[in-house]
Amino acid sequence: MTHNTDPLADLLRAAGPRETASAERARRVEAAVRLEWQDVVQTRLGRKRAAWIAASCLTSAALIALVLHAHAGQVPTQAAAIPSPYASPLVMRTAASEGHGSYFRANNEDRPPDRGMPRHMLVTYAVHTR
Amino acid sequence: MPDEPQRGTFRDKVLVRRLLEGEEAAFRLFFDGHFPRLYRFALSRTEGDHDAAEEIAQKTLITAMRKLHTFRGEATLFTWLCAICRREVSAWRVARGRHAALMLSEDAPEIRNQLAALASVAAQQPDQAFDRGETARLVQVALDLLPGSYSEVLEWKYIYGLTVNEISERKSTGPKAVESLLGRARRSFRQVFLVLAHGQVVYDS
Repeated sequence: MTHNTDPLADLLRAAGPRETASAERARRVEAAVRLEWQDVVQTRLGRKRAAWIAASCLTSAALIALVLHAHAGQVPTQAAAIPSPYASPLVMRTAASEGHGSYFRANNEDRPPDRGMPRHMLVTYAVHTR
Repeated sequence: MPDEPQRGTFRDKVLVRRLLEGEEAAFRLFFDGHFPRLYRFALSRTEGDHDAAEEIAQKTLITAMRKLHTFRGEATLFTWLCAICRREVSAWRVARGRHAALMLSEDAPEIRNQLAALASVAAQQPDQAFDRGETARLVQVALDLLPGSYSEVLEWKYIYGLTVNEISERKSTGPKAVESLLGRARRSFRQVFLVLAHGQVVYDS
């Protein structure tokens, strides 16, 4: 037998097989550890999901703010550029009311415009009474 | 050979990442690869109390699960688990009114450092002063410290007496690969065992 001349083999053979936990013990420990593992994984996934949602919300909010900001700068110029069907009569009528008051007289409304009324209210009034 | 511990820690880091992602196969690999060794580690520190070894191994693995994200891969996963297990053993000993510090030969810091680094070892014969029981225990500790494939193939070959062909069938590899694996396993075993056997033995400091 060759293994008689091999001290390493003799040593291992003399030591014998390593002790093992019974299947029942291994099963019990595995069940407990698995439960803990699943808990850890779920918690981590939950945190990751929450972080992802928060990041998405922040990105969306930032994008919306950016778009609104860009549009806020463009609205007046765009409005001036687009011709409105009411634009010309309104300007004319407003000018008339500011000048000689002929507009009210022309519509048989002998009431002068309210002095304290803001200009845009005046415009609205003019539109409705057209 | 010097790359083996580094490969081991890299493998362990990958295993930990897979575990944290919730991969079932990773859990199987982790539990089957570490529980038996950890159980024996605890058993040798609880004077052969199987119930205590089970309790300590379970507590160790549960603590490890909670701290898994802190594993940096600076040592192997088994070394990391052993560090947790030593604390659990101390707590267990204190709870039973025993001295907390039980130091086995492989627990001595200088031995642990040598084992971790697998520093160059003088080619000496095992110390004859060790009694048979202690030698057998150290052989088993050395096997537990080796990568799983090494200890497995050594056990199959020298303890259960399987032939190279039978091992190659079990491992689904060729006989040449098995012979090569056996050669590496023998070299690693010799290094680890010599570190263990020639270290300063300190009991109950």
